[in-house]
Amino acid sequence: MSGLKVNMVNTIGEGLGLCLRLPNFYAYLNADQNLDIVAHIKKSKNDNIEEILDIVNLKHRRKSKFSTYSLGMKQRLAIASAMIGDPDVYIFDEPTNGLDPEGIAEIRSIILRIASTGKTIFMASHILDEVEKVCSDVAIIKNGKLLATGTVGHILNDIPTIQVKATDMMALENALKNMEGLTDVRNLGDLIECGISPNMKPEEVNRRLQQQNIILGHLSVKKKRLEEEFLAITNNN
Amino acid sequence: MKALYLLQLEWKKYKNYRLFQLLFIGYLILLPGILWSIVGREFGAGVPFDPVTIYTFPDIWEYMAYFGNWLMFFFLGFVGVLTITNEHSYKTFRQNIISGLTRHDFFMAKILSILAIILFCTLYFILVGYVVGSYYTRDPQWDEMTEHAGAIANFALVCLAYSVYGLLLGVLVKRTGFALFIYMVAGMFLEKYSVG
Repeated sequence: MSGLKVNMVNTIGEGLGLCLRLPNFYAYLNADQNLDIVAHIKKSKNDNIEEILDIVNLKHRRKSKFSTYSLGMKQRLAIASAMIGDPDVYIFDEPTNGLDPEGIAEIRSIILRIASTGKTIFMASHILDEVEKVCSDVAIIKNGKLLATGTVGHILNDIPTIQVKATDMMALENALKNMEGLTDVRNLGDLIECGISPNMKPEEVNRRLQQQNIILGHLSVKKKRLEEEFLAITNNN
Repeated sequence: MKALYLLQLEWKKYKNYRLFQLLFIGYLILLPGILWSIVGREFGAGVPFDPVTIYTFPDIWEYMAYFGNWLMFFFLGFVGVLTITNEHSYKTFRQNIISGLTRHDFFMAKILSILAIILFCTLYFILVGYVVGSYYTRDPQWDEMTEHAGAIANFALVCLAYSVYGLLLGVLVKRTGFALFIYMVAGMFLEKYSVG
């Protein structure tokens, strides 16, 4: 990762921006004064504070005491303090924990803004919806073991599934089970779901079923959600 | 220059802290204020103040050290306790470490800032003693002025004791209110039994 050796103590403040758990700042100081202290500790010149406050959208409250901030604003100030010193690599630990939907959206756009400037961001999160929307690469870790890693698209599109429905469900299920290129046919009650291999197309499934006089009342290609994939990966290990 | 860096860091934390401002201004006003308030007053029997020598050289140093240390019991002791307990209650100790300060530097900054405050307060103590003593002493001589000047060192030493005691309680107790309570109660108790 950008040539950095992750030795926490030595690299903190020199190329590594940390935003861990709950934000903690001096309650009696305002955003400017708190960031000033962080900049002093990092021995960074304060010249980019204006820009940082702009990115985290705190400019209008910069003179308010930290104790008057909402949780979302506190979290944004924590991100701002991580940005001081212009590190190349960021580590965010559950940055959206405990925030309202608006706050979550705001943090997401800030993270994307930082990422768009060419920085690397490591984000640990239990909120998979968040990961799906923000991240480019994912690693799934369980009990300290790395279970899966790759781009979000790669992990999601491993085996796309289709859902079908017809009047005669029994005949449909039998036909699907006998068809090549389909895997893991499951009857969900009013729908039948099955995995579809890359060289098989949904159109082809439809055409073959029609040849067997089974007319579909419903056919949908389901893109897998990260949550399902996550559960599948962690359950198998 | 490391010391200067740490002192500047602490200054950024102190300078906008309202309680610190109040305690500090309280010391600056009360030290000469107490002297002025007793000038020319009659004391009842049993009070160990001599109304004639109290504000003249050389005894002024000893009397001032006595008042001054009482002020310092509250000012420096409170600052010592609060400077540690605040970092705990705001969890900023953690935030400072995350930002890249080492534990060693964190505590060095606290100790250095306390030493700097003691230095400043002692210089102010000398200034007040010099001004008041020169004003009330008829024809002050250098020998007379410095005869009991050892009390200045006593004053600084007691300041150091109070502040270190405050820092220690801050580290041990961590909770602001509880630490201050123990500081006051135990401080007065210890003082009573160590003196008499």
